[in-house]
Amino acid sequence: MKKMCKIKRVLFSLCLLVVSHAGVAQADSTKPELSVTIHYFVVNNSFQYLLAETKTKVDKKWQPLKKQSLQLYLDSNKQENLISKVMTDSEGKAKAVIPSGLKSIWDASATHKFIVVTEGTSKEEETTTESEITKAKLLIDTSNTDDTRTVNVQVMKFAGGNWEPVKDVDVKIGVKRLGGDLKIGDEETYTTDSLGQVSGEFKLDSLPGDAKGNLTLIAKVEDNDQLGNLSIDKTVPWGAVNTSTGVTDFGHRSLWAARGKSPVWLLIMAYSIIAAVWGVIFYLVLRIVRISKLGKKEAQIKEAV
Amino acid sequence: MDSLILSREKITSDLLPQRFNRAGIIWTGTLIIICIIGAYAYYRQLTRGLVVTNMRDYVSWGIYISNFVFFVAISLVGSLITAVLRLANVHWSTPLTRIAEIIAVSAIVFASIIIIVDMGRPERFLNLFIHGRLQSPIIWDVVVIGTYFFISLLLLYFPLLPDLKILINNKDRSPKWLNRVYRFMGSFWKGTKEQFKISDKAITILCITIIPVAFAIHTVTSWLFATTYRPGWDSTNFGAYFISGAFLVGAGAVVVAMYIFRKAYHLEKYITDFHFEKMGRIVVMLALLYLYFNINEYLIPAFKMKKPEESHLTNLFAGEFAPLFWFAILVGMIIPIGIMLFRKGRRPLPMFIAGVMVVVGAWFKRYLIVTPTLLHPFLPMDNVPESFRHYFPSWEEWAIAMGSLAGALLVITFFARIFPIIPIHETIVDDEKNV
Amino acid sequence: MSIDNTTSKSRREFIAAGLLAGLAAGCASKSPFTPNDESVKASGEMVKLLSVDGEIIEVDKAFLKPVPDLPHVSNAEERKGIGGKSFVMVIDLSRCKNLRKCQSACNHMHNVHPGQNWIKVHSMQDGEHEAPYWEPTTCMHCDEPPCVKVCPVDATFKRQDGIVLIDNNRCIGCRFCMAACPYSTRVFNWEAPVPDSSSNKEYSCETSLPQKKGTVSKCDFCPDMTRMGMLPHCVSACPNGVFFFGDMNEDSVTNGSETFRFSELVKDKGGYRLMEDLGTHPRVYYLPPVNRNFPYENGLENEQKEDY
Repeated sequence: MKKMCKIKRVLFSLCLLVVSHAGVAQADSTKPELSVTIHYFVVNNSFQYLLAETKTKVDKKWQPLKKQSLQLYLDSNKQENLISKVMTDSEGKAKAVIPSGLKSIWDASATHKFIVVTEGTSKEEETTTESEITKAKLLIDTSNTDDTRTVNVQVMKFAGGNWEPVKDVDVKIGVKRLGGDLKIGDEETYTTDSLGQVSGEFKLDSLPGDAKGNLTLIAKVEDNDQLGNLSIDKTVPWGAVNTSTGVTDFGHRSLWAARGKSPVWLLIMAYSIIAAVWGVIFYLVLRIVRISKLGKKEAQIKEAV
Repeated sequence: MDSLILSREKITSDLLPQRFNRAGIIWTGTLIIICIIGAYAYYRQLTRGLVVTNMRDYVSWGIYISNFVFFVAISLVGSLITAVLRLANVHWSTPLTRIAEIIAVSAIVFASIIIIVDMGRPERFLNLFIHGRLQSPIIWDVVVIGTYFFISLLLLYFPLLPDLKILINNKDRSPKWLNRVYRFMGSFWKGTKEQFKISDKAITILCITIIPVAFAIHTVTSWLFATTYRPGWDSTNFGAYFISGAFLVGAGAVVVAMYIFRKAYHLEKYITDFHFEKMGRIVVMLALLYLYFNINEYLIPAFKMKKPEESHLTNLFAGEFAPLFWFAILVGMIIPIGIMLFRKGRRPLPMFIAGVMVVVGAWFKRYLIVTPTLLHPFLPMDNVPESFRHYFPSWEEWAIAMGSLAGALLVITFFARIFPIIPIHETIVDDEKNV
Repeated sequence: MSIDNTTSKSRREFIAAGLLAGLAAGCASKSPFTPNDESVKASGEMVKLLSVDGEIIEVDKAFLKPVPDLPHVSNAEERKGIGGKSFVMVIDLSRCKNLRKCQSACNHMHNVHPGQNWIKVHSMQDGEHEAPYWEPTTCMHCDEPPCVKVCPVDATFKRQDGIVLIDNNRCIGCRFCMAACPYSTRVFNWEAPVPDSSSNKEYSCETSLPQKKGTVSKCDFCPDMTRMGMLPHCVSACPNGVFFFGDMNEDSVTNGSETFRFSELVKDKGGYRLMEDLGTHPRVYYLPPVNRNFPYENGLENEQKEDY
């Protein structure tokens, strides 16, 4: 079984070499070089998706190929094996999920091949890229003994109808944070042993969690040749209770607060000065009115005389 | 003081507004042309944006702002000549009070105009009132300028009332439409004792009130700079420094106006050599005071040469801005002091020259306060086009700045054409007291 | 330790129910495509997908969009900010090579006028015998921002998540904030912006697009990206991982590939802030240029490329 796997792996890499060379050979001096890669992701042992990335070489620099139409197939190029037709975005990437209609093909084997076909245009020929994976899953468990907290992860792959542990797989274990995952200890990666297991000590003391002190652990296998990208997460109450609401003096009266929140001393000073001076101005305008009235009275007296 | 043994009729006839002679028409015409060019330049600015100026990200304030500071400074003269001297019961200043007040009102109006010109989005001007933040020094400036404008207007109006009566009585001296204006403004003034009592009291209240407001207006304007961290602006001295400069340039402006009106309207009997002598003494004292503040402002930071200030000060004393800096100091302060320290220098013509020097030096001094600091930011000027590293105003900026100055002069000119530039009634009263 | 690996009916039901319910408790996202917050609304239309075990799962179509339709954020919410967050940036000066990829990404995504930059990369040498280094500066998003203090119309404001933002529909273009900022980080739109794809969209303070003539703009810490759980453009664009961005409330910063505990990073590497003595309390920390990845001179190749 293992020998078969090994041969398969070698064949697969040879395949890749041939395909990439073929791709290169197809690209002669007038056609821009094209690079298409496909990545396979599984999240929490169920949701799976594909990420296709296309790049083209322009002036000796790799640029993402935007708005490229791609067709993704499962195992073979036939129409009934079509996974999805997608368009790359501004970064040259496109995501696709595997529709439920391909269930029978999917269940038929433990290993599968994903094929990406770029649509031919007047500038470029159609290219094909392949990637093979084996179905796999991650199992995560935690333990807390003698004040030492440990995270245990096992990597299993589906082979011959059974789930088997996988050796020598690099696993990363971290805590989910904004934009990235913070590693739980000193090691960047942990490599699985013959039982497909790794164990990492959780060394992040008093790491702020959510309002209840919960953290989300995440174990990842990244870009494994056989298994693709796997991840699984688990919530643990290992964080410090965190009820912070950002900047602590937001909404307080200060010199940099919004319009209605000036400091009280400023309000008092400014308004009292304005009231005093404008009170005087108002009084003086009333005096003009009084002068005007006196004048009119005088005019009436003169007329009467 | 020469006592004017002149009849009432003579005084009135001398001081009523006179029609423009040829010089007056050329003067007015030139000012109008300058204003029109300025208006066209502003039209270009409105359509294309502030890119027509040479202000860029580093020198983000240019001659519009230095012109604004200059106008605010000049407007303080109203409180000095009119208010302070009146309260001190000084009578020789009576002929000068209206000149001072109209300079003040005109300057403050054009200060507001030039600041709106400087805005990137002038159509959002009302945001200042709808969304204004009391914490911002700009809002303080808006409040104080508005307040000062109304007080100065009142201080112009109350003493004008008795003169309006004289103007109405001499209606054959003015065209029909002007007579209607006079009647609208003050026909209710009959000159009764009660009216005078109210008016005199009102003027005294105004004189007292305007002094702190005048101090506030230029202190708050100085805070537009002093509330930032920049070298050259981060100074505790700024309030007093700006106010002393304001008094100086205001007094200088009054001297220039005195001389021009005297010549243009043949008012030698009213604005006499004595007036120039007295104003000369005041201006020289103010110039010495301003020189004192300048020494404090420049010498002490130069003694320390803190890093951010080092390049700024070296630039001013011996670098790119040195010619302008020494010009402003010499022409704006030292040479006028030299002229006015001597009795012969306090005669009308030398005074006029000294006054012009003070005003021109002051304009360049305000430019030196605003722009050089902006060329010495804390972090180096990197990743910017070459044009961002220098500043010389574009023709649109010059046109608009000169247009605003011309506009202010135009307002003063038209005012003198419509109203007596020397208070008639008060001159008569003072003259009769002396007989 | 043995873990059950079953495809039993109960597990199937659990997964289906869980996904339909939106996986609210504990799990951060509804699908890897959606942002880490609850703001994407379910459309009601379900799509059937295949899971890795061969199970058929249903996911709401709205959660599968590669670029999800985020709900419109009102001006009041933009002025308030994202609750519970306290954004911070750490810039590692030992890694900067003056490549200016941060600058070009930021300029492109925010339609900054040609010749102007929100991010400036300075060539610094603090003293005669001190080492030269490259220092990128963004807006510091100060906790006592001098620019906010002086704005007369509340066009620039401090949010509860620490970000200082500009409302270009309110700005009157007086440029007092530019004079007040000691880091000289603000730029002004002296003329009409170059038209691009954002020109006809509705204005949003969080994207700072479309740019408006006669108003001020600056680095905004990309709140539109952080609402989606993604990193600001400069952070993603830097090939050397110079920019670290994160949430002080989570005590973590990341440059996309490496994540560190913020408090430890600053403590271990002697992080500092610029112009600390001015009392602005900036939110951008710098790690000193020691154990450099590249000598300073490597950055000089890029210098000629500036110019207009």
